[in-house]
Amino acid sequence: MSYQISTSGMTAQRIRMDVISNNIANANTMVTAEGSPFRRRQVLFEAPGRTFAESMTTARRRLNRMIGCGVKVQKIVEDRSEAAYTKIFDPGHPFADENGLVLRPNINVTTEMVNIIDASRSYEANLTAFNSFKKMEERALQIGT
Amino acid sequence: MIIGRIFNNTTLNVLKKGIEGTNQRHKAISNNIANVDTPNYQRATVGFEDQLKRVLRGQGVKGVRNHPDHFIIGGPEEIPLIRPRVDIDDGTRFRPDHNNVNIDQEMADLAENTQRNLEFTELLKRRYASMKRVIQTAGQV
Repeated sequence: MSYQISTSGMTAQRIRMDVISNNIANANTMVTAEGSPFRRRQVLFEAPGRTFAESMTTARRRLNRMIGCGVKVQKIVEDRSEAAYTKIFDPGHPFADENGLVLRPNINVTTEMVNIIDASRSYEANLTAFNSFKKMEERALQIGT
Repeated sequence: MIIGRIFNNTTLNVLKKGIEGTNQRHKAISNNIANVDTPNYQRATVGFEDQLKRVLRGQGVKGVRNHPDHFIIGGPEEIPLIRPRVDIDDGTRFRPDHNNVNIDQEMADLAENTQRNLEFTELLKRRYASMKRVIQTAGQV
């Protein structure tokens, strides 16, 4: 069980890193299948078995349910607001409107880089918990030898 | 009968309970770490030391047992029955997204808890080793 908890954390952070990498890769994508510039994507996490309603109905004695069972990627959302796009003046650009303005993806590469560091460190924290449990089990197996 | 009495002593029971409790706490800390970026998540804590302490110090109510079917209330016999207690910490506010996991605190707790578990394991191992030695050498006199 402990392994699954830490693994779920590592998986979630890896998905977050994938999404952030995708944002960085598309920082200059001016047009997507739906015709608009690329929209920034974000990962939403949730804790399964730990919603308010569930913890109220679950008997307090059932330890594992109370502790929870790791983390889960609930969904990946796009920032749909038009205001988030940055407008730059570039009359020569093929996508420029009549005022010479071009909509650019709402991605700030610096923010994404900071987030990827955060995800990478969180991944390591989960890995540390995983390794601690491995060590504890290893020692427990030596009892009686 | 005699084997039952040898293995049912307070030291062994305390050490076993310590391993069980630290394992349970490891789960809670791992879950807190996994949910460091989950909005509205509230950290879980596990406590069992205070219950052990209360029993070992003979505090609280102690029921007199004059039949094996009587419930065990208080006293060292209660140790194997102790259940580690899980609490949800909903009193602290730490971040605007209502997640109250402090990653530095969790990592420190993780290190301490792991070390404590390894100590209990080592002590239990040594205890068994000395019992084994006593059993083996007693017959050689």
